[in-house]
Amino acid sequence: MKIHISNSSDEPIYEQISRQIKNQIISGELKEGEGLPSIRNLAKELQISVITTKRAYEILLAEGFVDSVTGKGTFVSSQNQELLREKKMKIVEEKLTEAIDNAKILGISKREIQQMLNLLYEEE
Amino acid sequence: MENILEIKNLNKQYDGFSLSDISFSLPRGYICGLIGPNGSGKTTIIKLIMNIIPKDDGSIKVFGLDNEADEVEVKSRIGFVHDTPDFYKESKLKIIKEIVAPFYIEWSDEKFMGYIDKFELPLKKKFSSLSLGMKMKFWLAIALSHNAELILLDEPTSGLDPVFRREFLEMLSDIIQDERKSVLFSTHITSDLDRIADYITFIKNGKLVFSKTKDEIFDNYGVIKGGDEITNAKYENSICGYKKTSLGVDALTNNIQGIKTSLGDKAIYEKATLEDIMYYTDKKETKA
Amino acid sequence: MFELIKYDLKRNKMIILAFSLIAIYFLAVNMNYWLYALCWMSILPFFPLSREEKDNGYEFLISLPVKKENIVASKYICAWLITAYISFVFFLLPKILETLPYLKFTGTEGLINVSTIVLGFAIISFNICVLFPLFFRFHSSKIIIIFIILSSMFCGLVFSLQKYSAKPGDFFYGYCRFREGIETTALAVNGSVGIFGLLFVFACIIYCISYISCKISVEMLKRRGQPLFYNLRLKHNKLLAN
Repeated sequence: MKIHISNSSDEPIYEQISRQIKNQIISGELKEGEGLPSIRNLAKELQISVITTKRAYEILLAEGFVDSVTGKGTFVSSQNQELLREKKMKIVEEKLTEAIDNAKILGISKREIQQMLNLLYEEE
Repeated sequence: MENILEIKNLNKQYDGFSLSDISFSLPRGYICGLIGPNGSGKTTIIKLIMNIIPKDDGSIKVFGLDNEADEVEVKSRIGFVHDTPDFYKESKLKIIKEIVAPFYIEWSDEKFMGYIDKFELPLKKKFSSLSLGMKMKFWLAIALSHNAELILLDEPTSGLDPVFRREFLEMLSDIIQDERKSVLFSTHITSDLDRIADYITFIKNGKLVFSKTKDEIFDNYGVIKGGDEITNAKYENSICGYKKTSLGVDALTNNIQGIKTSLGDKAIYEKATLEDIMYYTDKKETKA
Repeated sequence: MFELIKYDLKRNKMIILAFSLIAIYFLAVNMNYWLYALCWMSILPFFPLSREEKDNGYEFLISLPVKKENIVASKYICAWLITAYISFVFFLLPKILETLPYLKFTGTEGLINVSTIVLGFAIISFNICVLFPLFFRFHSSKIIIIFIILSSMFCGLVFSLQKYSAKPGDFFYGYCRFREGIETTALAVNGSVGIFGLLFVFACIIYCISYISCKISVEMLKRRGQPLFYNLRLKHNKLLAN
């Protein structure tokens, strides 16, 4: 599991962690049943507060990405394929909404956005 | 699990300085940083916890025990490092250890020698011949060698180089891997706490400003920079302190979400560091 | 506690030795100088206290898991051990030296008799029982210098008075009467059992006073570093608050 936190980013650290873990679960990098480091271990490795890692894990628990087994630790929960796809779609939807909002503020038309999308997609 | 430390309504008065109504707690398994400017009362609080000086009023409970009535038991489970530990400085380290060790029931020579090796301390040398960093390491080795549950440190990193400070903080992280143990240390070097502290207790002029989790603090505190309207009475509740110059106003808020909605684009918003919080709290400065 | 005593004696052994040599010098010059030598030596029990203070030891010891009673008791026991050592230097050593013919050490009767023993223990007991609580309460390094100056002045006074014959009204007269009184009491109590009995009673009295002094010292240690009349002020403030 790879986590990189940035102290200078506006995003709170616990969000950075939960987002990165979420993405790794969704992309399949973190497999079902795989164990996550303990909150204390993670805090130590990242040199941050235990309460922050606890909060990140609580978010993941609440959103169903991980399961917690008392005495054993936290594990990636079995991901329903449908739900997974839904979650992936949601992320892209959020990003697209953000881009559309920005475009509207800056006065870029829908056609221009569609052109931009085609160009960028071909580039990848 | 009960809190490892519970302080309620602690009062202590000296000529010219008083600590009034300090109340805060620390649960097991966390690191708490006690911050405040020099002379704000941090060392006094720590000495009161250790019953090195008598308290005027209030209650201090450590491990659920009263710190005065069960003094010896409480102290045997605390690993304490003074801020200027210049005790028995003409003696060799070996001798100092031989004085200290018999007082602790759970003393472990193995652990102690482990730390001595890790810190590369010369046991046969006199204490006064060590550098400041080595002195601190020595007392830390002693504090960690008797299975202490609460590690209490008074300004452990002042006078230490940044490299050792980081290593020291890593050591503290290691300690709380055991979730029954906690660490409380006082410092005015807030950058140390910006990273690893779980709880922050801020003391200023002998009064408690706040005792919260670090996340709570950084979620709500922020620095705003803008025009004179910031110091308007309508924002008074949200502004903890400000500095006004001819170029504008820099202020600290403890309700950054609220202020953002009120002021909107009229100001710039930044994350507050602990240093900002210490600097701006109670400041009402106007420079022409 | 024994560790503390051991360490105290070890730390101060140099100064104990130095003082002993000076005292023996006094005695060697003139056996009648025993009072000065005794006053000089009676400062010794204070040295563990002032040394501890110099090393910032009190604050350190208080932070260890040890009762304040034990810290104070260790200092008292140390003081009495040093007293035993002083007794040896004053009362046994001259007797031993007397038996060595080539040293020509004489006049020990003037030195070793019931009244000198009583006076000696009285002075040391006063030092320990009355002055120790002050040392625990306040910073002692200045007190000890004042004490040395006062002791020297006291000895100087006695020495100058010795020149005059014992007349009612001066100190040495009082001392001679004191000495006679002790000897009369000793004779009145028949035989060596009587004397030992007297000394035993004396020892018990010193022990009781020492015990009380120790208790007071513990309270003093608890208030160390606090302003004067700390407890009274505290009560006063609490009354005001209510």
